[in-house]
Amino acid sequence: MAGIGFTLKKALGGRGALGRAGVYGAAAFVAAGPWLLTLLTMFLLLAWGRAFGVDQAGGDLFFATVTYAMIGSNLISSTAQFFLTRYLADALYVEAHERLLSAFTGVFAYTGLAALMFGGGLQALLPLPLTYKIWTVVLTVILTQLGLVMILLSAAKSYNAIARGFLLAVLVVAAGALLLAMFGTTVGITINVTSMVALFTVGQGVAMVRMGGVAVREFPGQLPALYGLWAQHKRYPELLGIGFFYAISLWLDNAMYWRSDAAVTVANSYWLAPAYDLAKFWTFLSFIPAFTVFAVSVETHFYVVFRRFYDAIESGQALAPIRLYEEDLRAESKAALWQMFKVQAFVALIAWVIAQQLIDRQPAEVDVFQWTILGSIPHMIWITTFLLLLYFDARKRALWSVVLAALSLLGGTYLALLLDWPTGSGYVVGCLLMAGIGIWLLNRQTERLLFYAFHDPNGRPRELPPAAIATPRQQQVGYPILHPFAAPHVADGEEGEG
Amino acid sequence: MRRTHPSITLVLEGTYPYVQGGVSSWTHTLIRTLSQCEFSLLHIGALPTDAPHKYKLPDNVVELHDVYLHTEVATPGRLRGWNRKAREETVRFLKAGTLPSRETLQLIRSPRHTPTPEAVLEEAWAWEAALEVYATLPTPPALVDFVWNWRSMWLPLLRLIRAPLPTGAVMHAPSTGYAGWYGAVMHRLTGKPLIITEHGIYTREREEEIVRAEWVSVPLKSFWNHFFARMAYTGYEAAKFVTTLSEVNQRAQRQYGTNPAVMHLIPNGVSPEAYAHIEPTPGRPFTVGAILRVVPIKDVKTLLRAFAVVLRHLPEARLMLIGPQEEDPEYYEECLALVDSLGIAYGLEWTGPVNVMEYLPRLDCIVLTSISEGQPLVMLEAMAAGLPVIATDVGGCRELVEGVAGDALGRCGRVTKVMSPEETGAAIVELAHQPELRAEMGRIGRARVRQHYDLQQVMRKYFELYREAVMT
Repeated sequence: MAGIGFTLKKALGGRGALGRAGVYGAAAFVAAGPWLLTLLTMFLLLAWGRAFGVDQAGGDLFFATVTYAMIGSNLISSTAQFFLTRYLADALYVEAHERLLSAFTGVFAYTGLAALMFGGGLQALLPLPLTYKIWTVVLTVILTQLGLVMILLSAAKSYNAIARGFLLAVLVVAAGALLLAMFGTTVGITINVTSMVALFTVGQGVAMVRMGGVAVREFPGQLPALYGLWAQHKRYPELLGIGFFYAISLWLDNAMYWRSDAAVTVANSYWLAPAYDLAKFWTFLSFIPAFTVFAVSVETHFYVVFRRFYDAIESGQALAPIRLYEEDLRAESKAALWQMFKVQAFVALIAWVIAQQLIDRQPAEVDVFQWTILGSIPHMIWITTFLLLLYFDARKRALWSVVLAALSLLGGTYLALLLDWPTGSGYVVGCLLMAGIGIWLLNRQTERLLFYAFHDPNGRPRELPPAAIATPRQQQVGYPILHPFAAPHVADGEEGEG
Repeated sequence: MRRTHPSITLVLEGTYPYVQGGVSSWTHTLIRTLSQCEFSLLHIGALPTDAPHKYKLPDNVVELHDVYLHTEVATPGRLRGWNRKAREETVRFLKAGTLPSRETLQLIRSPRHTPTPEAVLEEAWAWEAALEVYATLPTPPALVDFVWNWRSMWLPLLRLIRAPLPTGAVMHAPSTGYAGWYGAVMHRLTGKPLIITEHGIYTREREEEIVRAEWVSVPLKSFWNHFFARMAYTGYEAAKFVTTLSEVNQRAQRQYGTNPAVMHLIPNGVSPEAYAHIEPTPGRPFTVGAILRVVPIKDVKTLLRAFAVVLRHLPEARLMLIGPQEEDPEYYEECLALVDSLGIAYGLEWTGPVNVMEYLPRLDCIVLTSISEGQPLVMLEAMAAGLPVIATDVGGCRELVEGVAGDALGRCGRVTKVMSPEETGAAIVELAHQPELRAEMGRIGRARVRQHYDLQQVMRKYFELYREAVMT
C-alpha cells in the first residue's frame, strides 16, 4: 500500500464528495480487495462442492486446508515482507529501479523453498490422500509467492495489476467450476474436496502468474540477488524478526484456542476453534475502514509533516525552525493515533450493535465476537504505533513492540483460558497490553526525534544500505554501481506501510 | 651507554617521516644529532595511507606508531559503567574543552566501558551538550553543518585519548594542535613530562587556513578557531617547557595563554662548518633561489610576480625553484598557468627535490615570500652559505635578517611586506646591482649563524631540557 493515499488523491481527488468517496473506495479495495476476492472464491467453491455432493466434513476439510495454507504462507511471506520492502524502499530512494525485481526474485526463491518445506513437512504428518496433500503443498507455495508479488507491485504502485490478478482468479475458478460441472464426468474427474482445493490452487496460481508477469515485464534487472540477502540482513538484522513476530501476533491466540476445549479436529488433521476463528475473522475484517482512513488521510497528512521535519534538517535550516517542525511531527503522531482510535472505536461500536441483533441466531459466535471487536480498538492503536515506529526507522523498538505484542496476546489468552474467562476476553487483555507498550515505545521515540535524526535509533553506525551497493558478484556481471549519498540517510517513509 | 640518557617520544602531526618540510627536517636533525638518546615516534595522521617514508629513520629510532584521526570504527555499542562524574566531566570537555580527570580518560580508553569513540557522541547527554553549545553561537549556522562539524571536532580527540601510551620518558611535540593535545592527555594519564616546540604558531596557522576554507561555513569559522585555540591552550597548560624559535613566536604564545615561566627560546640551527666552503660560482647570470614546497602558504605566486618585476630590469636573471612540487598539484598547476601568463618561463628552472648543498653555489641570493613561517631553516642554510636573504616579515624572519636585541652584526638581507611582489622584486634588483653589498651581507649571515644558530649548541639546549624534564 506504499503511497497509495497520494496516488489515489492525485488520480481521483479534486472532484468533490464523489471524488473523496472514490478515493476511499479505491483505498478500501486495495487494502482488502485481494483478501475479500480470495474469500469469495473460497465460498463459491464451498457452495459448488456442496451442490455436487461434497458433504459437511469435506467442506470443513477444504475450509481448514485453505486456512492453514493461508496461515503458513502468511508466516513466511510476512517474515520476508519487511525485509524485502526495506530493500525495495532503499532501491527506490537511490533510484536503482533495476534492483527491484532482482531483490524480489532473490527473496522469491527462498520463500518458495521455505513454503515447500513448511507445506511438505506439515502434510507428511497428516493422514490425507497423496493427491490432496500435493495440491495443498502447491497451494501453500503459491499463496506465499502471491503475497510477495503483491508487495513488489504495491511498491511500484501497480494497484490495477493486483486488482486484475485477483479478479482473473475469480473468473478462472468460476470457469473451471462450470467446465468441471459440465464435462467433469466425461473426462473422468470427480467433483470432491480434492478438486475444490485444486481449482482454488489453479485460480491463485493464475493470479500469481498474471501479477508476476506484470512485474517481470515492468521491471528491469532480473538477476536474482540471492547472494545479496546476507548483506541486507546484516544491515537490518531486526527486519526478519519483525516480520515473523508480526505474523505470529496475528494467529497466536487462534492457535492457543485450537488446543483448548473449544477446538475441533477436522479430518484427523487440522485443529480449528470455529467460534473463535470466525470472531477473529470478522474482527480483522473490521480493520478495513481504519486501514483505508490510514492510507488516504492519516498517512498522507503525517508524511507531509514528517518530510517537512527531515527536509528542514537536510536543507540546512537552523535549530529554531527545526524545533518547531519537530513539535509538529510529535503532535501529528499523537493526532494519527487519536484518529485511528476514533475510526476503529466507531466501527467496533457499529459492529457490536449489529452483532447484538444476531445474538439469538448464533449466540456462541456473537458472544466471542463482542469481546474480540472490543479488542480491535487497542489492537488498531498498537498497529498504528508499530507503523509509525517503522516510519521513524526505529526498527529495534518496532521489534521490541512486536515481540512484546505477541507475548501480550500469549499472556492474555493464557490467562483467559486458565481462569476460564469468556472466550475472546483474553484477546482484549492482550491488545490492551500491546497498545500500552506500543504507545510507550512510540513516545520514547517521538520525545527525541531530533536526536534520532542524527543518531541511528537502532544503535548502529550509519552506512549505505545494501540496495545502494553492488556486491562483487553484481559488479562482475556489470551491475550499475551507485554513488553513495553524502547526506545522512533518514527514514524515507516508504517502509512503514504494509 | 644510551640507556643512561632519557628516552623521548616525539609526537608528530602530519610531518616526519612521511612529509618533507621544515619541521620534518628539524625532527630528522634532532634525532640524528642527539644520537645518544632513544626516540620513539608517534605520528598522527588523518587517514591510513601507504605513503613511503621521506626520511631514512636513524638507528636511534626504536619504534614508530601511526595514529589516525579520521578512522571510523564500525562496531556498534553503547557506553557501559559510566558514572555521573565521568558524564559531567565529558560534558565539560565537550562544552569547554576542559580535559577530563585521569579516571574519566581511562574510562574513555577502556573498550569494555567505551566500545568506540563514536559511542560517546551517541549519548543523549553529549547531544544535549552539542545543542547547548549551538545556542551560544552568535549566528546560528545550519544545524546539519553544526552537527557534522561538531563530530569532526570531537571524534578525533576522543580517538587520540585512546591512542597508544608514550613509551619514552619524555614527550616532545613539535607543535601544539593534536600533537600537543595528545601530550597533555598522556601527561595526565601517565605523569610523563611534555615539551612543546612550536616552529610556526599552530593556532594562527589554523586561523589562516579556516579563513580560506570553503568546507567551513561562515558562522562556524570562529567556532573552529576557538576550538584550535582551546586545544593549543590545553597543550600549553600541561607542558613542562614550551619552546619556540623566535621572539615573535613567543609573543604569540603568551597571547594564546602560555605561562611565561615555562617558555624557552631555542632557535633552529645549522652546522656552519658544513657550509663554510660554499662560494658563488663565477661566470653565470644573476640567479635567485627559492627553496620551498610549492604550497599556498609559501605564496609562490607572489614570488613569480616579483620575478617578473626583476626580469623587467634584468632580462638575463634566473630563478631556481628548489623543492617538491607534488604536495598540492592544483596549486602547482595554478603557478604554471601564472608563469605562462607572465611570460617568465624562460628565466625559470623547477628543480624538484634535489640536494640543496649542490645548488647553493649556483645562487646569488635566496628569496622567501611565505605568508607564514616559523624560523625557516632554508634561511639559516643560506646564511651559513654566505648568501643574502630576502624574506617576508613573518615569523622569525626579521630576527634572522636583522638580528635579535643585542646583536650588532647588521643586516644580512632584506625584509619585505607579505604579498608585495613590487617590494620583493625591488629588493632582488638592488642586490643584483650591488655585488659588494651581497658579499657583505653574506659575511654578516655567516657570523650570525656561528654566534646564535650553531646546530650543536642548539641541540644541546634540547638535550638539557630533556634531562631537566626527567629529573624534576
